[in-house]
Amino acid sequence: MLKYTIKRIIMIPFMLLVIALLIFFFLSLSKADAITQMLPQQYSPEDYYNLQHELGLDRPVIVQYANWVWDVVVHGDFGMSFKTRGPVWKEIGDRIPTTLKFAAITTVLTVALGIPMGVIAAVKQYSWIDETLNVVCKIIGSIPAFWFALVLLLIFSMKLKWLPTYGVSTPKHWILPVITQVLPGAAFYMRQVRSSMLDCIRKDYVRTARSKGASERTVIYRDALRNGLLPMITIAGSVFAMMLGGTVVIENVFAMPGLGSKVVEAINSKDIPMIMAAAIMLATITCLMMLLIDLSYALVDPRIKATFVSVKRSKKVKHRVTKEAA
Amino acid sequence: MAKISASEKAAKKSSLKRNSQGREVWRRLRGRKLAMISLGAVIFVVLIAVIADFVYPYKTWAIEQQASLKLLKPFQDWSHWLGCDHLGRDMGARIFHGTRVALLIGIGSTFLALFLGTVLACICALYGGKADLIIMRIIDILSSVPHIIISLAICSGLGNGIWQLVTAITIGGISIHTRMVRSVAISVAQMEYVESSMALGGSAGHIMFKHLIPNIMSIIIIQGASNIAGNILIVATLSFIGLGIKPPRPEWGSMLNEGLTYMMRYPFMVFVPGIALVFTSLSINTFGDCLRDAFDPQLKGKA
Amino acid sequence: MSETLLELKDLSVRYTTDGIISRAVNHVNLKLNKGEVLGLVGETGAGKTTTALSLLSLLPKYTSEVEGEILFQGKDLLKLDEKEIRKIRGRHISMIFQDPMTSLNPVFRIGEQIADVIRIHNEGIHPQEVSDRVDSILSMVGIPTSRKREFPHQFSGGMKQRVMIAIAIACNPDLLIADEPTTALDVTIQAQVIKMMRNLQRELHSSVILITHDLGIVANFCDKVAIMYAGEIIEYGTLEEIFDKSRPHHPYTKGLFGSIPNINEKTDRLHPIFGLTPHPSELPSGCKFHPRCPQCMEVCKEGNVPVYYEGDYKCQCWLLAGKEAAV
Repeated sequence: MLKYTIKRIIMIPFMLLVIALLIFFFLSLSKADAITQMLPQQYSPEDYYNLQHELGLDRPVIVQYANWVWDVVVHGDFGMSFKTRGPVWKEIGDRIPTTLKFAAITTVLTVALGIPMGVIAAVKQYSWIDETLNVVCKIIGSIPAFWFALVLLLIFSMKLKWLPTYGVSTPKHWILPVITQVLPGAAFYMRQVRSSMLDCIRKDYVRTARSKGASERTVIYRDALRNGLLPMITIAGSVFAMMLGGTVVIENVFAMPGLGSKVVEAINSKDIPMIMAAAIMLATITCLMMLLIDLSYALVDPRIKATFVSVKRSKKVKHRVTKEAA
Repeated sequence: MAKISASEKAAKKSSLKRNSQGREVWRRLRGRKLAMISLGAVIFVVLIAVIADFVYPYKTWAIEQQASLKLLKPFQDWSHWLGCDHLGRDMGARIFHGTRVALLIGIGSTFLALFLGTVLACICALYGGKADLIIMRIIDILSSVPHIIISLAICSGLGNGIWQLVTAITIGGISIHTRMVRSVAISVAQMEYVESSMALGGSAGHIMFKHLIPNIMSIIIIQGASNIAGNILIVATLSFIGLGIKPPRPEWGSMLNEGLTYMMRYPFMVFVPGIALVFTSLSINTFGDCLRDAFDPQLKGKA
Repeated sequence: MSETLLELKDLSVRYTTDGIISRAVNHVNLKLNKGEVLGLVGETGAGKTTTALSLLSLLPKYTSEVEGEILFQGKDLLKLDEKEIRKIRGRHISMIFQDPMTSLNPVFRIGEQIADVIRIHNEGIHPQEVSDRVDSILSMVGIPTSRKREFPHQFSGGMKQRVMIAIAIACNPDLLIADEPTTALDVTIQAQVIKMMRNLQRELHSSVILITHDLGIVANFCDKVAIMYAGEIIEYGTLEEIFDKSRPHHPYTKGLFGSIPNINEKTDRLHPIFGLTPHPSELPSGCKFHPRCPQCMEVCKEGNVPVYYEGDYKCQCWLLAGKEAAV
């Protein structure tokens, strides 16, 4: 278990480096725009080259990348923003908690909503409740989150004036953004839970449980549910990634001060260091969350857990044998 | 047809030619009302994209601004039945031309991502070992970041335009397709007939096109159908936050962005493009689901 | 000894999927006495498993339809409601399934899975007693009690089947149904498992229905044999009657024996039965076996086939019954 964990943890920096390189490469394609945006309306080629040199954009991409990595890893410095000329970290750091909080709340709610709905739909397959959930999920899945957000804003904030429109200052501000994220998420998660449960309900061991004389409730909520929900832990990881990706849009619509809205703002102003920092932060959060979820899966599933335990045990045995031999 | 014994069915399945499978799928599709309705809706959307130029000439209707028609509400003037936006451009024309952009990018990026994903998946399945490991590691890395962030970075690097968007969405989508197709391709590659073909000295290309592709074709089609709508939504999302197609070119997402300012007093500015978007993605999604059921009736209601 | 435990009267099972009706079991009449071991023999798809599942009402609820009577200790199981049938399952009738690999729940410890059935049928039982009984059952099936805290994936196929048997006998049932208990196992393990089952049966005096297509196992284990074909029992008798080659038999039974090599006889080639078992959705008229029968006659092709009785022995074939029925 420990070995696996360490291996996974070591993998993360490498993954992040590759992602950073990829993003860096694409961003450097638009460096001309970045420079011209910073210059006044009328500028001479000389101004351009001076600024390019000043920002370090005249060096080869790979050198820029190496520099960037060096600064981040050794100094923990994400560089200066092109736009504000201040340190990037100062602006990014404050925004992380908002995004994390938002993604965490929506993930938890999505899972909490998706599991019971999926289980009910699977248990009552082909009933009206299953059909209704199915249709509703299909419709929700076809609505883009940002438009859904606009419609909710229009109805609840502008027309009915029940809820505030922009910002995150009070809990009331969180209601609409959370709804816009959770509904499509829950629709997606519910479908996964349903199909996993349906799979398990048809398994041989469920028939075995019935043949023991167990009640239908026990069969479904004990024997099938546990097996059906195990793969759902991993899916919850993708839900979290989805929610984090969703913040990019939702934070924009509701003007929430998070990483997502910062990324978009930075991209629109071609602020390369800012984009890099925000994107890498989002990627890091996703990677860490995925690791956490994989580990918790390994802890819960006896099949995976046992492989770690048995490795340990066989080592112990070997150890004992060699001891005795000596 | 209904009375075919299980063994015959199995025998038939293995010797199935693609056109006869196509006919069978069509037969099942035709039997379902929902499938026919959604297919009709999809054809309707495609038709709109095709005839956009004939109904609304691009320059004069979708781009040219007419101050006198500013913020004309829908259903008041029948020559501008969907109303006009804040610059006096006809909404109907912009929706029609926007359909063209949405379908082009949605279908183009799905097709490309599927093609690349399938090639990668087949390499994984056929060669296994190191090739599989390396490809899957790259895929792991790509999928460890939310799809939209990769697309964002690529978009901002490449600039705004249809092909730039197609590239961005394609790269974002490769990972999921590769994973999906690989899992099926590996199980096919382990079938006896593939092994026997290998034992008989069949080349990798031969095995890929003769055995692998025909057997995973259905999963590819299903994946594609369910992905187009998702990609259309991503295009709109990117445009909405100002990264996809930029005005004045008509695109639903950027139309919604423009409508934002006028939303309070002229809600039609966000409803018209939004409904077009939902209608398109809903009909494609529904048809995709029906297609999946028709390809594999046993999968019905699952996944 | 010869008290009737189970009697099937005119049992039929139909499946309906996508509008296609499959007649999996057709008018089966069968009797089983206390302490008897019945071998239910037939090819894949002959309706053996369906018959067994119908005894426990474990058939898929919406797609299957059962007719006839299943008298178990005088009660008709088909008339019982869900609650009552649950008291029978695992307590009075229990079942060992074909594939031990998938029949055990992967997320529960095997001791837990055995304890389960004990708890279900003994409400309010003391945990210590449950644990003691699990231990004693495990030792009965030859699993070290120290392994009860392990999960199914840590067991080999043969050991898993032992666990399944342990679950099945945990409440000392009156009737044990074993559905091809050895098909999924290695040949050497098969012999072990069968031997163990036979010893357990003698110890516990339960009746057993052994579903198999392996005549060797039948010869080793059973008192009575029923041969099934296309959902019908076409021949039934004691082990001696069925295996006695000097007696007249149903041509299908002859075919079954003909397709097994006999070590005592010199034969150049085996005699397989030609053709395939008909799919239950399109059974032939008349005798279901007639398209494949080497001795097929005109009468076989239409109408009902008469049954020939001789004491408890019976055979559904014109060849045997024809003489009397024709009169």
